Amino acid sequence: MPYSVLVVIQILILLIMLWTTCRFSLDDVPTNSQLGKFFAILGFSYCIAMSLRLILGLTIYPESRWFTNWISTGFHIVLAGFVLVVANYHSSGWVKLITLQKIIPWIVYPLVMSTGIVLHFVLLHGHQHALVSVYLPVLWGAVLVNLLEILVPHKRGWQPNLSDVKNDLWFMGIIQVVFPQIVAILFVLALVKPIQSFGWPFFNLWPHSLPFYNQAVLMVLVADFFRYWLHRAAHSNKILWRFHAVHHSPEKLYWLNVGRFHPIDKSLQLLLDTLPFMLLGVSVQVIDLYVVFYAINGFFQHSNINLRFGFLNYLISSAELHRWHHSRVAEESNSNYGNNLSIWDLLFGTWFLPKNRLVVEIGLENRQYPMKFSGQLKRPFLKDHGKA
Amino acid sequence: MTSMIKTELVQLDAAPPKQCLKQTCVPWLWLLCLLFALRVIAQILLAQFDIPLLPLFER
Repeated sequence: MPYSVLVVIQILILLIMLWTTCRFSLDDVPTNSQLGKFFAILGFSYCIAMSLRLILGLTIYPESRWFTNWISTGFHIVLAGFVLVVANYHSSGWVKLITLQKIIPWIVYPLVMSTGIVLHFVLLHGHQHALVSVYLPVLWGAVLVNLLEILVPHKRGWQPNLSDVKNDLWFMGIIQVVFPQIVAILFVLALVKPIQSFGWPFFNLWPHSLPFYNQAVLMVLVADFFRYWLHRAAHSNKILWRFHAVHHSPEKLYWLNVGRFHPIDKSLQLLLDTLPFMLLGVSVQVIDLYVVFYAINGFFQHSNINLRFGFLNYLISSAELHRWHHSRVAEESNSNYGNNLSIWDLLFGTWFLPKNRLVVEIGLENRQYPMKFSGQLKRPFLKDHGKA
Repeated sequence: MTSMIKTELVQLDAAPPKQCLKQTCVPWLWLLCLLFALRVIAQILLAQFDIPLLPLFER
């Protein structure tokens, strides 16, 4: 289409939009349910078509300019949004209700996860430093999950106060960001390099020749297997439970308390989900992709968003499953140990998702358990170690 | 618990008054108009000053 025609059409569309907006602002426009239905179908179809265009451009048709023109696609979604807002008015708020209760709970997880992974690849191919290509997608996931918790909360009572956020930020910054970097350097210096210099015999155990994606899937499967058994042991072994109880202490489940782990517990996790793969010589790119998936999935898993996973509950360790794992009732919380995947729970008989009820209370049986960062670091070493 | 969920759903199901609908919709309509207007203006300026970024806005 010639550029001049395109501009004329766009100006016409803009004039129609402005006229409609002025009418809604100044006049008392009567609602019309038939018109509401028509605009709803039009708006949703338009939105789906443009989202497909974006997804196809990023996956199957990366060579096609029409598919990869994401700025243009973004503005088509703006137009679809306009149609949907008009539909919402004419349908007396039905479109908003459907969007918040029926659409957002189903689509946000795949949408945020896939955009996070795509962003990781874009940054990777743009030769950004590994820290940028890993932490920027993770930050993107965190910001969106945080916004969704405000927009579509699962339970209003789980919204955190300032003290919760402050303590969880300490855990997130120190235990999840700084600590793993230090541990990884120690692993490399104290174990990986010396062992490799002696001619590490297990290097060939990892299928390095497999395509990159397959290696990443394999890493998630294997790491989750180890983490499943560590997590299960943490719930049955008294010494391990002292440290793991820190993670179960919050009485409100929201995205930031995914980072609430005792450093000893975190070290054990790193020993099982990072060190073996470093020793096997798994490429940094595979480990980085694992970290992006692991972090964004963790935010969702602990999030206070109204989420629905459907059949994904049989594959992913979802928020719906993980809320039961944080139940105050031990019979309910001794389940769903999967870190990223739920398949090991299915296989070993610990998968738990009641159909007709929601988890009532989360946290530890001991309601006097300290909640502050420093108190929780000391707690496992105290004599009464407690009673968690 | 079930009754609590039901109450919440019932409250959401009740149609909001028209004035309330208008208050929700009008700011969104203006915002989306503004976004689209910015796109059109950016496109015209890019063409006017021969900035080679115009293909980004095509179709």
